[in-house]
Amino acid sequence: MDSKLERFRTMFLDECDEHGRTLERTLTALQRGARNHDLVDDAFRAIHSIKGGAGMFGFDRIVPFAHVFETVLDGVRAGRIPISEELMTAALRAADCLADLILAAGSNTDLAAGYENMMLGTLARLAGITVADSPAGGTSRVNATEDAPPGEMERWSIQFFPHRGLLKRANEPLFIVRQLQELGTLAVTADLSVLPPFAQLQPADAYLGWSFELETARGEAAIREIFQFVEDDCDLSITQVLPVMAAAEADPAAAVPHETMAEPMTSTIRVDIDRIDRLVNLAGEIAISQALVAQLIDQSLFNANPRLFQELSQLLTHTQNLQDSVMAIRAQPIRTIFDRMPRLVRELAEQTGKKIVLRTAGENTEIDKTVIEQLSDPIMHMIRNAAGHGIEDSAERVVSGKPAEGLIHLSAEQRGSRIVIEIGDDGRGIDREKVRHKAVAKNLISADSVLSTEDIDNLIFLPGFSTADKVTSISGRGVGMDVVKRNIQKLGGRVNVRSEPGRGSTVVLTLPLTLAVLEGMIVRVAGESYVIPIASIVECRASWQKDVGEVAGFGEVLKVRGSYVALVHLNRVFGSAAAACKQQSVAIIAEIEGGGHIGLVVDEIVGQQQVVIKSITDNLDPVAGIAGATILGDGRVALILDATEISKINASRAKAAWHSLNSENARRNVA
Amino acid sequence: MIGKRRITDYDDLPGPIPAPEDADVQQFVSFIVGEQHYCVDIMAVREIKAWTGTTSLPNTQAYIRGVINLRGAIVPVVDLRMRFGQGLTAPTPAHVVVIVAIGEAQSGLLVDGVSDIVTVPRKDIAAIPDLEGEERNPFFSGLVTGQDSLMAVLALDQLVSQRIAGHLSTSTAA
Repeated sequence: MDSKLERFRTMFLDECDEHGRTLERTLTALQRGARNHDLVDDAFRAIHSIKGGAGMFGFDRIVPFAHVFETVLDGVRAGRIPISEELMTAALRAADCLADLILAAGSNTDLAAGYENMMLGTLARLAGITVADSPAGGTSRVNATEDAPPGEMERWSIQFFPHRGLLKRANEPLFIVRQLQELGTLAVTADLSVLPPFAQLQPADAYLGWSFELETARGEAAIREIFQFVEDDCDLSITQVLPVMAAAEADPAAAVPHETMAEPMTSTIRVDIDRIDRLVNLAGEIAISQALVAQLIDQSLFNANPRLFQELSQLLTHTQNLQDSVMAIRAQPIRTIFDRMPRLVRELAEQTGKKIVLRTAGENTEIDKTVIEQLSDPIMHMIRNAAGHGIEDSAERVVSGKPAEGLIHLSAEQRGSRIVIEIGDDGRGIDREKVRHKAVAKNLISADSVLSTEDIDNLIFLPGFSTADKVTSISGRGVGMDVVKRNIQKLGGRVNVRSEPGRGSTVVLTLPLTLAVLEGMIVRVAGESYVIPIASIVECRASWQKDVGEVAGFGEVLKVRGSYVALVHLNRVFGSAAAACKQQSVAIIAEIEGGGHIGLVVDEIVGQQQVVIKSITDNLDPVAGIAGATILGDGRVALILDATEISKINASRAKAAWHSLNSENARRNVA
Repeated sequence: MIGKRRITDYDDLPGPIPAPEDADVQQFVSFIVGEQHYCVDIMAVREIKAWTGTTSLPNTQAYIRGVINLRGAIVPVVDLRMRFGQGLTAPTPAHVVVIVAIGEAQSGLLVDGVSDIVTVPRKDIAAIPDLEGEERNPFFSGLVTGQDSLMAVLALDQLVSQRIAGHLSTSTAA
């Protein structure tokens, strides 16, 4: 029983996360000037759902906060509270605050008492001010002092528009309003749309209409009773507002009942990720099996039965579609990350005292869930960087003729089988002189190395590189871009930066659509096929033999553009030690973690293809230098190489060799 | 050779295997490595495949012949002859890989051929005799008598990696 409740609680917290993002998205749009009923409605619904769920699970710090927040949004929705910059800024802060409350509730920690009080005060004040100052006239509001738990109270939307002659029949709308007020919490908005200019006004005619929002437990009959004497002299509609529904409009069609808790528009189910992974694997298997079958069927069979070919190509199409659809299940819109960034930017702007706007694009780009989970930190890091280093102070910006507000843009798009994410700013750009100077000072490059501007820009990804003059909490803790680069490489992606001095810089992340598939180079070593991830390959050298040098106690090195990289003959590491270098052998220069390179000599390059990554550790101990395995088109297993691990093996061998050389020397000296 | 049918592929498995009615008997799949007969609990056997080659794994123990693709899973193949210290098998298409489950993991055993399915009363499973002054062979858990030969029962968890064996012992302890 307990575990069931726990499960619902977790589900609620998950949902809160989604609602939080909705809130963030809609409020941000409103703050930027979008005026759309749906946005306000979405925001209102999000808060309302949070409030309802929080009440159910007894998160009693969330409920009152959400209630006030909801009241404000409700006012906005009904047009009583005008949307102002101040209001939206406060609302966004309140959303952050609410997120903190939810987080605290979820992790069973208590925030300091009164943490939310200031925000609560601001919200209430804003709601209050706007009500009092509201120029619309005829607006009044009675706030519920106690919080009504959802469910017991019903919300009613009442549209009351008297016919012209209502007053002549001795009816008084004010009485009706007062009677309604006695039923519960009432919000009234006057409709002045048919009010004629003063000169044409007939004092005995009724011109005003009203729409009421009533929270009451008394039911429809009690409301109808109030209107019984005026029913024939007015247009009247009384509709119940269901909890997650918006029905501020007079249109009764808007009041079509919905399921209470479900998010309208999308219907989703929550599925255990393991089940989906199993499906992804199986779909991959089917694709491989069907390729095998296609290879086994030879031409004579096709000639004997022409339909075979037709059916087989059908199968091919279906398998491909199946695989795509299954992959799509794992895919999630990158919005889940992007929606968290406005808050970060707001906080950064506050901390740095700079004015920064975040603009995002391509939030609906879909990417594998696992990739998304691991993207959040790198993106946050780069936004911190942009705010900390890239964007200048307002004063400095104005001097250089830019708008005082700095701009950070964050975008995602799919290009072929890869996702490209760009994080850019319109700040000062990379100071190449400074970067170069620093790289030399830190011994990362030699003073006389010839580098293109692009090369210099990309120096910022070297380990231990940080251009911040002082260490701040925002950026520049020395664990900078190299960590970002490493994390992205782990995902099979690549990082690049382009920069224009004075105009800003943009970091470009290129990522695979999924972690289950890898773009690999197929190579042959000692009669076996191996896969080297394309993402790690820098270049391939056909005639490398002339650039090889031997370093005593270290082994062979290869000269690559002025610097030397360790050279590993894979056939010596993986095959028999005596295997000779073949004539057509190729040296593949691969990047390793930490920024170095390694040269891998392979017998030949077979080709390039996407491979499905399989774990070898399900049935086996981890094997040094092997990251995983895949199954090639012929059904054989090919191992996926881990350049970093191979480099480590090589280094430890070299060290051992050096050690024995030293000790031998020492022995000789003793002798 | 032994006058028994050599099973080279699972297609040739003799019909449906009658399930032992009473719990007093245990069934084993027996196979040959060199001149020796060995057997494993039939419940551990997943399937029997003809040898079709492996992808060799660098930098591992010599008795791991490499890995094969078993319907999408990457499964290691242990050369039993090598495991018992009798040198590498020179496999031919007539050689057989017995796929066994060891806990959650799967492993292939390269043997010369599968010979039979034997049903043995539990009371007839003998312990490995303690040899004077020598450590007991960890690869075997008992001895059974087949129709005309003595067979050692393989202790599968001892044949494979320490990690998987370690995992097994912790999971059974828990």
